[in-house]
Amino acid sequence: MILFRDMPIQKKLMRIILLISGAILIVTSTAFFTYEFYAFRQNTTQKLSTLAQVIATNSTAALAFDDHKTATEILTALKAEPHIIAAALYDNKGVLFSRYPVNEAAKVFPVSPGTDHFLFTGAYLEGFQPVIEGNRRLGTLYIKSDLGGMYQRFRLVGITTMFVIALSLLLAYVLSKILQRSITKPIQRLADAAKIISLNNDFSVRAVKSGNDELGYLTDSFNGMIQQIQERDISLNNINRKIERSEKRYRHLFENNPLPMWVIDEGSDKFLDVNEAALDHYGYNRQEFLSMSTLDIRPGEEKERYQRYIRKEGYSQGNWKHRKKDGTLINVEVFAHNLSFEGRKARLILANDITDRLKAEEQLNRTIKEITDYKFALDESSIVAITDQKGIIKYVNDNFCRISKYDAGELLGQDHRIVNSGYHTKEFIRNLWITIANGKIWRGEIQNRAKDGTIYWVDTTIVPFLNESAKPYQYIAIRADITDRKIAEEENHKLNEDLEQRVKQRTEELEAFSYSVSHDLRAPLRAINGFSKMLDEEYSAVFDPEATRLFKRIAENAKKMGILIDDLLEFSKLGRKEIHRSPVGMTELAEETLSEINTTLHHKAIVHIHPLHAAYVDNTLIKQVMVNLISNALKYSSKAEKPAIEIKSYQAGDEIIYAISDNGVGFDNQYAGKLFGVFQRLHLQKDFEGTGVGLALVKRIIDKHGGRVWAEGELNKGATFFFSLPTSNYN
Amino acid sequence: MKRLNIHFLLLLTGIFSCAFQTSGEREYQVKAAFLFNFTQFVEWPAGSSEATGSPFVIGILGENPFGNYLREIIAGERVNGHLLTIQQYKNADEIKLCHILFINPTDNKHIREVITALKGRSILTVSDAANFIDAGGIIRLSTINNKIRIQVNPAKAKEAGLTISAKLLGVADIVSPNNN
Repeated sequence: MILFRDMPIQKKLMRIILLISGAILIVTSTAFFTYEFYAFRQNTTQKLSTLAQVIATNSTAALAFDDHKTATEILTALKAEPHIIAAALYDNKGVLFSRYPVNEAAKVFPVSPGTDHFLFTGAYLEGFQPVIEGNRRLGTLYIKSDLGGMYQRFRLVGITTMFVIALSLLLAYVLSKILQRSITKPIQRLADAAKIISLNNDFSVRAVKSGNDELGYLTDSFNGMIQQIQERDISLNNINRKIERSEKRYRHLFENNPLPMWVIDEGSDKFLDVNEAALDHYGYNRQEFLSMSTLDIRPGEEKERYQRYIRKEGYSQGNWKHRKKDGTLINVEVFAHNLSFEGRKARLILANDITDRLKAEEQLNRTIKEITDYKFALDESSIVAITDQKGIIKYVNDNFCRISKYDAGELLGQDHRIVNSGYHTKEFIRNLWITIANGKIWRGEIQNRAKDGTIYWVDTTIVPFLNESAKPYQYIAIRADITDRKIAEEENHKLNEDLEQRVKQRTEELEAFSYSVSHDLRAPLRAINGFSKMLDEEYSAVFDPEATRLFKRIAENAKKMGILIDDLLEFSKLGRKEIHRSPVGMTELAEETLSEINTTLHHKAIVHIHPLHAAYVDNTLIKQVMVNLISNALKYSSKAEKPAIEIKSYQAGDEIIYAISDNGVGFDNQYAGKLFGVFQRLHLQKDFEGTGVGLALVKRIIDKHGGRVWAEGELNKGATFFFSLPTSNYN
Repeated sequence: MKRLNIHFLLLLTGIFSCAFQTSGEREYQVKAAFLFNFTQFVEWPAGSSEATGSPFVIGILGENPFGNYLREIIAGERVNGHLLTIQQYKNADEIKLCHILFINPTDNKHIREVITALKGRSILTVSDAANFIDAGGIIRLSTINNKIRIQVNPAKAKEAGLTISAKLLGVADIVSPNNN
């Protein structure tokens, strides 16, 4: 049966057909044969019986009337039936009456008649037929038929049957061979198509339909199925490709993720996979990593915590401490979720090192704390308000409320006009806005009006807060209450104005006085000079040397007094003098001054004049300054071994500073302030000549130009004299 | 046991009695059987037996040559439902209802008289007398070479309204009266 199962359908069909037809033929033939056999036997029996009856009937008279001859004649008529091989008549006493064939031995015949029926005995049919006339039994007929003929016929029938069977089987074979093609061919085609499909995985192959029977439906269904499979195959391929792509993408995401990532086995916590970032960050190589479990990268106390930690199914997040290979502890924020990794239950871990972030946060918190403290301090100390870029108040502190006497609620959403006192000009306000709108800090003093109408002054600093594009988005105004100072100042101002007025008056008086004094002192001094000269010229021969020396001293002091008076006159004149500004090349001015000095003064100093900033000043007055300062430098360095003087200028803020330095005797810096007073001198007249008016004159001239003068020095190490001129002079 | 012995004795007696049969007895035994057998091969016209219940009569005219043998044969036998009986006649006058009549003549003249007397009646006349056919009888039983042969005169049978079976005719000799 197994053999049959694996047989090709064609053979199967063939066998089935042959088996069925064979079985049918055999059954039919057997039935036919059996029927024939029995029918023949019955027929034969019937025939024999009929023959026996005929003979018996014919024999009645012979038996009845003891006529052996007639009886024998009757029996002899059986010659016509060659298969009757023996017959005999017995009388009613059972005695053999006559026989056929006559010359046959008596032992062939039964001694006495048996029961009245026919029996097949071997190749014979024999039997007894009663001989009856009317109701009387007259005797018995024995008859024996040879069945050779019958068996011969059977043989013939058998051979015929066999022949018919063989012929039928052959016919069945040939017919089935032809007819089964209509079944096997489509199946074969289907099988071939299936084979090609399964061998080549080529789902575009279709089986050829051969008819509209079940096989046709099967073919259609098969093709339909293949169509579906093909479509599914295509979509499966697409899906697979997508999966592959997404896997690749995830792989890429995993491998190239800048954050350390790994996969651990759900049960054993062993590392299953780990990305480059993790290797980099933790310092282990891949082999080391994959031989560890997640416990191995944790410090002791964290190991216990991890073991106690009950993991949530699905996504979870937590903060842990990990230990790198070099022992460094790091804080990590861990994100984990369950996944299936190469068929195992696993967890994907993303470990973000937040050590730096925590530090930064800590720092930030400290900074925030500090800023909060600053703010607190600011709120405690100052009047603070924050407005948006349009000037709408967004925040005011308690101090603001206290001084303005408004509630915060009344102030928020308003602008500063609510406290405007109307004191300041429109230009002042516009200037303020222009300054801060340009992102610059504005400083100034503002007068405001409180809710109850009282006026207060605030020293105000407005700082713009700039956004990314350097545009102000809000302003903080920090104010200090300067009302008291302002009042004092105002009083002071008035007082000063008075004082100034008085000083001016006094100075004018003094200048007028000193001018007249100087002017008036000149006449007697000229007289002293003139008469001393005449005495020297006319009476020098009569004077002893002592007298000559004394006269000379008188002449010298008179001359000095003349210079002093000239200086004083000059100085006092300066007070009333208007300055006439013009562009002045300071380098040229310095060189010119030096060459003029050189014509009257012998010195061995090396003077180095650097290129100097030009200035817009009164040429004559600034030349005076140069003369005085260069002369001073030459004078005080004259006793140095290698006197050297340097003149230079530089810009500092909105001033140009000119400096004249020497390497002379210098001065004690604590007396620097005294240098520029009238008649103030730091050195003895006998060491260095001078009236003590020069530096005072310098100060006066520079003052008039809006600049400053000062000096720096050290004893025996030289001095530097500075004067500055505001850059606004140049405009 | 005793009973069995008696039967055994009877059987022995039977065998011995047979063994001591004379040839004359044997002849009439056969003839008696023949007489009985004629009832099977001959048809009597309807009405020859008057009513149901009336017997089928085999008559014997003259001396009974069969002894008890004929009686034994026909005992209990019926022909067409009629019980067979034997009647013994001394004279022809005595013959009333009769189907088969065996004539055992005293002389030949006597046979002729009897047959004449029975003329027109459906009686199968049988005899072993030598001139029986000539005397107008229907069947004569002759003995030739120790064998009994049947001679039949079908014309007379027809005259008597009897139909003799062809089978019987097949084994019999057909004869006709010698009229000289």
